[in-house]
Amino acid sequence: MPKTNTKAVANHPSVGDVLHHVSVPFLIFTAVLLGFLSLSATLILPQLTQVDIAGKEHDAVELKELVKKLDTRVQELERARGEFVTPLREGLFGDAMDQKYNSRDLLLFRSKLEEITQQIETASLRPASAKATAGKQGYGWQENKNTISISSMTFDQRELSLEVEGKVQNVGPRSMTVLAQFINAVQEAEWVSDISPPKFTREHDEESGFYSPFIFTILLSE
Amino acid sequence: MFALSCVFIAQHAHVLSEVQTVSAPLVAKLSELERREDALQEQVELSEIHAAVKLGSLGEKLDVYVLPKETDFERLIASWELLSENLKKQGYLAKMSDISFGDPVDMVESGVRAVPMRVNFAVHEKGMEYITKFIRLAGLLTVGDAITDEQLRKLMHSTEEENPAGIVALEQFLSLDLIRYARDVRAFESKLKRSFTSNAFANTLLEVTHNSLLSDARDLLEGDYGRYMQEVNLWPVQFVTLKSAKMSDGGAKGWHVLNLEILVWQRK
Repeated sequence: MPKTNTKAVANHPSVGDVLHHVSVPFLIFTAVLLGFLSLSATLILPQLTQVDIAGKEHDAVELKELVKKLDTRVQELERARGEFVTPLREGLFGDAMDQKYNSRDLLLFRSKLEEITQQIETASLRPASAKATAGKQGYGWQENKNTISISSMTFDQRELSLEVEGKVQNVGPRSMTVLAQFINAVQEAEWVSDISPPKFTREHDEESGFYSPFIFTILLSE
Repeated sequence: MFALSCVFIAQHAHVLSEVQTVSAPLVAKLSELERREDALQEQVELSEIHAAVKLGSLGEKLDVYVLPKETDFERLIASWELLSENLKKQGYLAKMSDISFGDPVDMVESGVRAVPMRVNFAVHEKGMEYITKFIRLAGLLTVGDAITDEQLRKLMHSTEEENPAGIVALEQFLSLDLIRYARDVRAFESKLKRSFTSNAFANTLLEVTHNSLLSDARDLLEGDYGRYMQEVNLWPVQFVTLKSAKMSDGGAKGWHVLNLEILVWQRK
């Protein structure tokens, strides 16, 4: 039969005893805390939240309204100033000017396309240069930078489209592959929203060797 | 009582956080807005004085030259011919074709029609740049017309910060004839800069003039072409926009054939 530890049971206070002992101090603490908090809520908090503007007290809500009102007033004054300083900016001339500012520049697109063609040319000429250095210039691998030749560009401002015509040459039988690289690079450009890909063909003549003529239309980003 | 204390503690926390997150930024914004209101009020009063006279003269020029009721073909063709002659003289243009016009078409913008105009050039790249600059600038009256709303806001904001009374000088600068400005850029910009003491406004002005059509105006009009246009009183030219452009090989390096279709705007 197990022995009961009577000494331990006698010294261990029950939960009821604990509560009985702490209830009075806790009650006093809570009462004092509540008193202080009430005082703070009535005397200190308003001091913290009120803002004195031009001798008048404002709380957060009033402050928000005041800022909103002043913001509207500033916008009105900006509009009035704009009408006085640039009086023709509104109305018919203003609309016409918007058209002017929003119109695109053919020359800009030309230089962007040239950047792409140069990148493609650099990439496609690397093996040719290597071969030339080794004295093994292969079939159709000519060291000619004029790989992607753009013969015409037609820009339509209303449709925001650009029709590009030309040919890929001087890369031997890889002309269609280089054309595909060119189309992919154009497609990825941020100023292009869509592209109608060209027909991929490879032709050959005595003068140019293998070449791939192309004509494709780019829809420009808004 | 304990629950009530907890409610009070929560209220204190909420109020203190509101002071930190709402009231303090609002007070900062309020003082900034009050400062702007004062500056703007002063600027509006100052600019109002010149506005009525200026509007009358600009409106007249707009109606007569920029958006007339009937296209002045003589004036329009003369300005293109003068451009072509000037480009030929510089060696940038081999040939300009005949200029043909179509029937007027209604535009999306209410109150305007446009006459389609077609012209071709055998032109060098440099000449193409001048032609496109001419199209971009045709129809602009003043310096203010050559800058965008965003650029204008930057300049205005800079005057508020530096010297609100400088709005008068800025207003005079913006209402300058574009061709007068382009023919003597340094003098007009220096005059404007004298109204502001620090470099901040000068830097903003430099940024705006370099990134706007003012830079095109300077390139196109500061030389002989601008002088001729001013002498024969052909500026401002009628408002035009580009409808379509085709650029093809010109047979020699750097040379192109440029086919342009331009819309010449007129009031209904």
